Amino acid sequence: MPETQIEDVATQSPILEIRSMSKTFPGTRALDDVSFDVVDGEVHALVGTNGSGKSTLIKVLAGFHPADEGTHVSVAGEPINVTGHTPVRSAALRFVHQDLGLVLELDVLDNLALHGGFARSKTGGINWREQRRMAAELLAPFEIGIDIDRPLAEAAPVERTVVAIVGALQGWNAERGVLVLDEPTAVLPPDEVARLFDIIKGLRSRGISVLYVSHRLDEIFEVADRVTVLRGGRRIMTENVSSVTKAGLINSMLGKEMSIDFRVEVPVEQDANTVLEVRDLRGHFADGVSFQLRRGEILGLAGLAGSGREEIPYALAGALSYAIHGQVRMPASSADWKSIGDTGSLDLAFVPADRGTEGIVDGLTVAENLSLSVLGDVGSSWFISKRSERKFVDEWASKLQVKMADSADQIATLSGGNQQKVLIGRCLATKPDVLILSEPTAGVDVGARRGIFELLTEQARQGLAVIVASTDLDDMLSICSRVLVFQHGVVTHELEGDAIKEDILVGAVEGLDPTEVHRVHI
Amino acid sequence: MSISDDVTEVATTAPITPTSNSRPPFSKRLARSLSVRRIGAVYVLIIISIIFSFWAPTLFPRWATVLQIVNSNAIGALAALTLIFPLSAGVFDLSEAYTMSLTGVVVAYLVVNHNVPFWLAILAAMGFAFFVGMLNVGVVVIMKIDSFIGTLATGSLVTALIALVSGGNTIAGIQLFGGFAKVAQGKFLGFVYPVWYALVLAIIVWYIFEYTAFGRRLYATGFNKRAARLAGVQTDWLQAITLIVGAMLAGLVGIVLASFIGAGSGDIGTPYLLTSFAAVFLGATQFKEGRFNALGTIIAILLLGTGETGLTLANAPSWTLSAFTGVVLIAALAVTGLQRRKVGFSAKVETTEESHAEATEIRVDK
Repeated sequence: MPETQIEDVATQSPILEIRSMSKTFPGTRALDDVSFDVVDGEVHALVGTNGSGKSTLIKVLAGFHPADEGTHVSVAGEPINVTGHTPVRSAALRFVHQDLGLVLELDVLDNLALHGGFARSKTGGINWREQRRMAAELLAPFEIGIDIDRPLAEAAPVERTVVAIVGALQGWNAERGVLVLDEPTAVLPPDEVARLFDIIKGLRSRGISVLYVSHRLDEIFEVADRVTVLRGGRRIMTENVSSVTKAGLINSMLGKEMSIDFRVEVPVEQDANTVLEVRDLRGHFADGVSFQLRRGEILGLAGLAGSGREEIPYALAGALSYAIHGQVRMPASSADWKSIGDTGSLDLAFVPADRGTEGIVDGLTVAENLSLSVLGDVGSSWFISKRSERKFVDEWASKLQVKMADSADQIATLSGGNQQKVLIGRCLATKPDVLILSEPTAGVDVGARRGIFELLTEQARQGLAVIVASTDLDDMLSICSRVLVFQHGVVTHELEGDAIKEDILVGAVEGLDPTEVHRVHI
Repeated sequence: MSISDDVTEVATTAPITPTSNSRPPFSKRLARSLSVRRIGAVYVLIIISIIFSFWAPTLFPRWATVLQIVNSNAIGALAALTLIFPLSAGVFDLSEAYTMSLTGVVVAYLVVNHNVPFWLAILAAMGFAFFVGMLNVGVVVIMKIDSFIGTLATGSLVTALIALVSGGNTIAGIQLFGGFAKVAQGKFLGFVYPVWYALVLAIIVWYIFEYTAFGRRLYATGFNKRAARLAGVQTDWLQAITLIVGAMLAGLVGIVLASFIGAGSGDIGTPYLLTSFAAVFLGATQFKEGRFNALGTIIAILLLGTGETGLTLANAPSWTLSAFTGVVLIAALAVTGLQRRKVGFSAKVETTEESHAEATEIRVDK
């Protein structure tokens, strides 16, 4: 719960005032008369599903899109012009966008200088001593102990986020101001999220207000004082976090009553066949992992970053660039154990974690992305029949409930959730025995997330064996029939059935008792 | 709590996302396919043809001019179409122009200096082309050297090979005017043979990229190799095949060129290096939104050729010819660059979150 007194917050003077903000794109009103305030010293959460307009709102504030006439925004009492094509930047309004805007090949020092400029010596060269002093000073309050001479690629994700925040806050000499954080936790594992929250609370205690955009509702209760919900471009409500419930928030985001916790467990028959066995898998992180996967089962892989959880899907899909060791077999096809290096010949499909660089083929259309893995089946093995491809695509698009204007549109025009559905469809169309998903719901909004959960449970009911590796414990809690918890490269807990509860799972992931393998089955 | 109850409830309370499978109406699709953004080069071609017709009214608007433009650009079209294969798969092959010279020289050398029957000489030259393709595969696919630099290097090796065979001389002789000349010298319906070859190659390329799994997989490989590989596409194999196909086609084009001019010369292919890349990239801005394609390439070749011929006929100073090519290329690529950035931007917007409206806005943006 937030520590500040909510009553005080609501009566404080607004630092960021948004009045009648509208933004019309041809054919659509992305923002429709949205008004709310961010007051001094509060963390103000902005939530909404895909297409709710929250991203447009941030872009209008950042001067990326000009707002419609009649929109008024002021920061610390000063009106800023957001309707013109040359927006006036306000020194008291800073942004950390989702992609952080960092150059990972450069070190911390250079990245800070990218945002704030270099200190100059008298001759016009860079005054490195002064530069280092400034960087150290800026980073000091955050206590992350990062080496400012190392490339950012070597830093932990949360450290990069901190560097981006520090970069955005450079030259901040106003007493008051607003920092906009756009989905800062989207790429962070759970343990680092907690560190980020401490940092956000630290910012608040320094008098900096934060406008916090997120998909993850749990975080709002963790870190925010007030919350504004957008839906369909309109503001639905602004409330103190202490006076709303998670179910209430979901209802206002979706506009309809919905059970708060999605939980469908697909019953696995006692005598269900084992479809995949893994024996003694070792890689960079995994350090002797063995497990079995049964027909119709949804097996969750949970664990902190670096626990080995994220390596398993890639290892099984044969998608790692380095050598891994271990053996696998799929008893249905052969009783022989094979070296893990040969999994290309196994009948499994893989939805990778990074949708943009590993999943979708940007440049191809929705239809072409969907049919990519089964081109031999739409027409003959060599030639594509446009008619059967269209039939195939229509069939799958409706099965997956992909929201799109035209399957001949570029895949990039779809929202993250719909892209993910297309990727899952691409995999399912190959009729695999095993489907492996890494971070299946990252960057996916609540509605699409449920669609994906329903799709997976439906497939499992029909006998598909599914592996879900995820940093998002909701994925485990929602659909998994069994969860393996990883620590330091080995499986430490195996949770089944009713034991898959948030408290048990969090305890296991955080390593409250790392010494022995637990088999919890209630 | 029974599971089936839970499931039913979930099914009824799940948000129903409207699903649209239907295509937009025909008129809309037609309007889209005729838009300036999509086929801008066609409009530019029409406009400059009109301008030249007024500028040089006695010389330009004649059938003979059309024949001249088409005939003189056939080899360029062949060279450009050849590049589509490796480029689509994300591979630059800068060695193709040198391969063109190589096969011409080999054929001329064997026919003139050793009296080898021309068909046997062609076979031998194609063996050399295949060897160059394999060399490129070794460098680019197996050794994983960046294709831009890697094929520049193999291009140098090919040049060395040419010098080795030809001794640095142009090889010509009476023997080349026999059966070998019939390969490319000759006309059908007023168009020289290479025009018909280019037409056939264009149709084949169009068909492969439009209607075969192979072509689709090449595009996927070029756009996102890692994603394509994870989707089960054998990307390394495909890139290897395109390098070999590219080298073999370049070899054929080189033989056609040698037959056309009746000689084998060590630097005869070089002028085609930059113009063919220019045409393919210009072509990729047309018809297929960022994809290298046959029709766009042909239009690009015709546009550049028409400008050149028109300016010559209009007695414009000679510097205007190169200036025209430069301006057209920059203009076309700037428009595509803009498109690319916006598509890239919209991809980011969309993957993070946003309504369909925003993507639409990005595409209709002026």
